[in-house]
Amino acid sequence: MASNQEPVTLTHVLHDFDQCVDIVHRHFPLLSADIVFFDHLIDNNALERDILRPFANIQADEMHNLLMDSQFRAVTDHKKIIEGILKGDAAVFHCTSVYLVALYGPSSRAIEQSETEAVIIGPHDAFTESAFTNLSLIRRKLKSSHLKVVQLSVGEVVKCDVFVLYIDGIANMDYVNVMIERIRDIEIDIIVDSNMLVQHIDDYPNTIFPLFLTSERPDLIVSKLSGGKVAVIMDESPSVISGPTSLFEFFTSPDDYYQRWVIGTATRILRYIAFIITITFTAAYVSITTYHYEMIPENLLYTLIESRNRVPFPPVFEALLMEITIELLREAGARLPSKIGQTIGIVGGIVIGQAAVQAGLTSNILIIAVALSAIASFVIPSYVMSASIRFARFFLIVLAGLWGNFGLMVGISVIIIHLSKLTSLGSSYITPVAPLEFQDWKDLFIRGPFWMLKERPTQSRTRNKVRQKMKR
Amino acid sequence: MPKRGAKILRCVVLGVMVLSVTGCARSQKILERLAIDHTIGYDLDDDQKLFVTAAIINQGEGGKEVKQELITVEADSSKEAKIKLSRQTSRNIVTGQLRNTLYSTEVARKGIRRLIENLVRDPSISPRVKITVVNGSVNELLSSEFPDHPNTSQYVDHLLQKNWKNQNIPQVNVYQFTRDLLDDGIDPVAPVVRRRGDNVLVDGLGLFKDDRYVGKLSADYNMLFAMSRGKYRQGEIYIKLDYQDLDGSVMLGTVSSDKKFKVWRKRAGGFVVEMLLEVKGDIMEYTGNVPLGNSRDIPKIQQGISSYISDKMERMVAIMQEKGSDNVGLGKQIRNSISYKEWKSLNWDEVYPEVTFRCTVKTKIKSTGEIMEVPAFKP
Repeated sequence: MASNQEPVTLTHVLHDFDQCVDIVHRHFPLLSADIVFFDHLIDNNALERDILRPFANIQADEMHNLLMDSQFRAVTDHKKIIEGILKGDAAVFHCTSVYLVALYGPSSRAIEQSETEAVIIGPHDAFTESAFTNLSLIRRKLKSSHLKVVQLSVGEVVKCDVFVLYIDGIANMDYVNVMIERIRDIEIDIIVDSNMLVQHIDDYPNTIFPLFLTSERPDLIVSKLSGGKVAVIMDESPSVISGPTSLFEFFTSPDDYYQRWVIGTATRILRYIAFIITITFTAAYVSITTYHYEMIPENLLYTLIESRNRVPFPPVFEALLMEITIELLREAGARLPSKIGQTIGIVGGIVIGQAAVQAGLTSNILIIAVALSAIASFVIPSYVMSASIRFARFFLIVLAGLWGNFGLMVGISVIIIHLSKLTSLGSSYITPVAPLEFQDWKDLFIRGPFWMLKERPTQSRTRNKVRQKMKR
Repeated sequence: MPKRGAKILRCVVLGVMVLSVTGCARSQKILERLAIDHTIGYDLDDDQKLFVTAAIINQGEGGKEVKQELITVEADSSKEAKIKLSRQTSRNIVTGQLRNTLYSTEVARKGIRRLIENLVRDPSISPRVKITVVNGSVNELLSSEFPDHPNTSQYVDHLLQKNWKNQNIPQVNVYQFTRDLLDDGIDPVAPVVRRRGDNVLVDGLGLFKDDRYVGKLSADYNMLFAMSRGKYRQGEIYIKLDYQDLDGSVMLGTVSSDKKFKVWRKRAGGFVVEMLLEVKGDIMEYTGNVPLGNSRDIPKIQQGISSYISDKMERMVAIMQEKGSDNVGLGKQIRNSISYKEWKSLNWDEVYPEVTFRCTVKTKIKSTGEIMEVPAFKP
């Protein structure tokens, strides 16, 4: 009998969630009310507070008054109800009307340290998978009503919330609008992570370089926002996107600013040296031992010949062999739990390295070159950028093996030409170099003392340029 | 989009083909497949034919120790020698790491212009390759074993390098030699080495008239020659005082010098060249009778030093004039003071021995050391 009295929408809804064993349907015969929700998406305390306790304390005739309370949102659209339940709302069916109560509060990961972007000093908290936690982390650091949050959703089959953040009055609205437009234009069934989202909104989908900075660190995103950039948070993803981005931003780390400026500058220069080592060192070894024996200093010549003497391969094969070995070790180490990962380090570093030299497969100077450039690649704070650079290195090694120093120069030129073509949200990817903006150099190539850093980066094209007015 | 991708791919493939099929690939010089030439030496054999000795860095098959290997060949020219040399080794002979070229005095006497031209012509040979004259046989020097120095060619090279850094000998490499050779009014020099016992010794400075070796300046003149050629920095000079009542000897340290030339015409024709030399230094050692604590006596010692240097400088130029080689470059000074037309009409080889050379030295002693502080003894 009761089922006949059930409103049509409830049957519909329950029909839609047919075969979903995790749906919870509770019937209140005295109040002639039904609630439908996902147990694991809601906060049980909120359910108790907002629905169960009020329902227990009232009579059937008071029901209408109760449903006037603000936590009950009347919804008529069937689709909206389904969506609401999937987002962690409880649907309350009473007579012919339906109400949604926001009870979202699934269990989520606590705020922890970032594993990929650890710093030694400075705040240690990192974003989690929950967009609201992430928003809260940013709001806590940016207590301003000027921080605006625009909510969008992507995914045709599965809607996922995406929030676009910017500081009103500092961010250039052109960038904000372009960002919003690009996210709106995405037509895809599902996007799982923001690193996937980035690839749908960047300007050149085929480049190996990341065109937006993604970070797990709230302090970094806050500094980008205050520099006039736009940030994008995606629900269920711990990395937050910021843009427009220039290549050189990937070589900066927030802890540059937490240290004295001289030390920060030295670290930053070290990263650029690491970049050069990563990209050219092995290639230079190949090029010199294959073509340019003249370039070797006399004292090194003897040891180099001695170490290469027993190697049966030409230098380019030798180098590729070792580079691939190192990549194997890295990939194996990344997938394994950290306890086994250490074993991989020992096996790779000592056993393979030592044995390969003794077996005469490689020269020990190449082992140094390969190891050094692998280590140098991890100095770069952004993992995505470091992977891109390591890939570019293979291209240079092959060119160096083909044409020597000429090939190396061709390769470097191609990379530079490619980089200068790239844009991020329509602004040049190599911004302070081209277009030439010297005032940005003191905040990208070095970490200037704070009294020098008076203006926001030019790439933000902000109307509000001045960041500090302190006289010195 | 796929069309554009195919186009790019076609361009890349074409580019790779153009660059690798046009014969660039065979220019590979893989390090361990090379016989790297370190030093080349030239001798004359009994038939007055060129006898070439090449010291190459050889690695031995299968991971043996890298050491020097000598290969020798008799040839008419240096290029023929290279072809013949390559028959004696399992690896490619390359000259890109060439450091030093040695010429026996007999070869140098016949003129080394042709040999040096070949060094200049080959782009793989650096202009910084040294040119050295060997007093005696080059082959003997290179094949002799020095107990403390297992690698002879490297030893000779480092010896020259060190002596040049200490300003004991002028730096003479292909660039400087050819510059002096081709310039008007100056003749090249080259250091002379020879073996003495278990060591190699810088024996002095070889004087060249054009490209022909004409004689040797003893090693005593090394400093003076360096002063006459250019600015002299951080050297040491040992002087025997023999001026008025001065005696003993002075060792000047941290010597720096600067020179200027003045040229006059003699009324009877011919030229006078005066060298104005300024020498500064500290007294490191003094064995004479003048108390250095008395600053009035310092000018006297300065004059003593000046007269010693100017005497010796004049003697040095006299030796050169006798041999007809203008290694100091007096001709260059005269050329700069007269018109080009006049210089062209001048038969320099005849004029040179008649040129009067004078050297005026101004010495300044910067300090005499701690002795200045000790008060004079008063009974």
